[in-house]
Amino acid sequence: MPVGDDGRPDPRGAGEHDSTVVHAPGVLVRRTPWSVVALGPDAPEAVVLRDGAVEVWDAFATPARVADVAARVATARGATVAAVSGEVVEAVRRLVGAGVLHVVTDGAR
Amino acid sequence: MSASAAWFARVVAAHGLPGAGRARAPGAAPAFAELLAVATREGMTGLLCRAIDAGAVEADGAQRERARRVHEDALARDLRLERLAVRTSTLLAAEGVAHRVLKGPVVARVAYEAPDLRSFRDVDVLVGRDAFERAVRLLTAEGGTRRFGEPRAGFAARYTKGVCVEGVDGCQVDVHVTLAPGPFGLAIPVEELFGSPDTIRVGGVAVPVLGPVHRFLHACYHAALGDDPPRLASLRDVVELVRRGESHADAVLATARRWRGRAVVQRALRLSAATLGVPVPEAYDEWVQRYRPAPLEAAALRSSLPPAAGYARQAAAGLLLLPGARARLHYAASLLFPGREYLADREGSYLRRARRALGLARGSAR
Repeated sequence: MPVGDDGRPDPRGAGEHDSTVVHAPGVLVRRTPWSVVALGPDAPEAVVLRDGAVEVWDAFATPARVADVAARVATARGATVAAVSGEVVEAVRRLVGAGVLHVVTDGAR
Repeated sequence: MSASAAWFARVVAAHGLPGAGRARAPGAAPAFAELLAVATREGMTGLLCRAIDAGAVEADGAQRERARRVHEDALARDLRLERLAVRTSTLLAAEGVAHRVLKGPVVARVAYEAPDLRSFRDVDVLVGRDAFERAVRLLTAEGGTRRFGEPRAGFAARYTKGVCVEGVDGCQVDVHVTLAPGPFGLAIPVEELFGSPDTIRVGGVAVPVLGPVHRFLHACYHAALGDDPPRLASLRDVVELVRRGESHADAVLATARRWRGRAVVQRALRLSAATLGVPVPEAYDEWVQRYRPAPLEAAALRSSLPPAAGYARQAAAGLLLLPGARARLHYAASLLFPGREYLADREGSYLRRARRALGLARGSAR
């Protein structure tokens, strides 16, 4: 996992389609009927996920390729992969940056 | 808090409990902001959101969204506290300090249908009396500040409920050596609390906690003696733990008898049922109705409740249930003749302190 100048996880490249991503080890989670709140082991703040971001979060409970998750989300929504791919990639970058997702293998390398 | 807000807060606290029934609300609903503030203070924003969704509490769309955001903020704080609990437990374990994580983070996970229904304010950890000073030193070495002085060195470890260590981020770790302040805490044979190992997993880490019987008794002690008025979340903890059926009533009452704390269990069960509008659990109902506390236990309970309660009166009442004549003598001497710095911050002279102690002792015995 690349680390930025500030010592925090660097999400650049984390959302590449070939990256394999999973919930960060030690992440703490609370689930409500409408959202997920997650706190990374070293993160200063928790992140709140709603709507589509919850779907993306759940998809990475076990290690998964970003491209495969985008395909799954597209099927679940009855949409094309192209239509959801940008959203999934952006969500993964955000969650890696927040320290709640962990990149197992980086597709950018 | 307005009477209307108090009424609605109890509706929220009882939301979803079987048998919870209520008469009509006393007048108009409180301002939503007041109800939200009460729910936040009581650690039950999750229950408020569920009550709104179920139509038990009326709210328009904007109010519902506001409640959800406040709840998510509460959960973010819960998670920071939970992470602190894990770090504290890991630190103590690494240094060989036997401990048990207590209360909110544990009850939320083991007793409630979903952990988000129970928020909390701090982290509580129990250590043995002989490891107390070391545990506090470990936490202060991490940047925490110890609060509360003690009459003589070693008094807190031997005779109090514990101390609070406040972290640089404002989050608190309460380091306990027993489960309650005053006489009931002193009567608990604390070494027994380390004899029934149980763990919960938090963020992948196994965290040691009290066993089911002790967990339930602690919930009762906290609900009955912890706050005035009792926190609604603490009362619901008692009901939820009975609902989970983790501990058998016979085992609970046998342990409470040894701890001389049956009056506390009786009060917790009565209070939770009356406040939340639910029946006393069937397993305890007959016992709650017929149990009459022994005079010393009744006196200890009186000293622990308003208007009598207070640190000084509870300290004096500690003599009622502290086991062993030598321990009682040492305890009384430590309280009567504290160190000069401690005395200077309080009565100022040994004579004035002795007069005050005499008055408190008379009050406890009545």
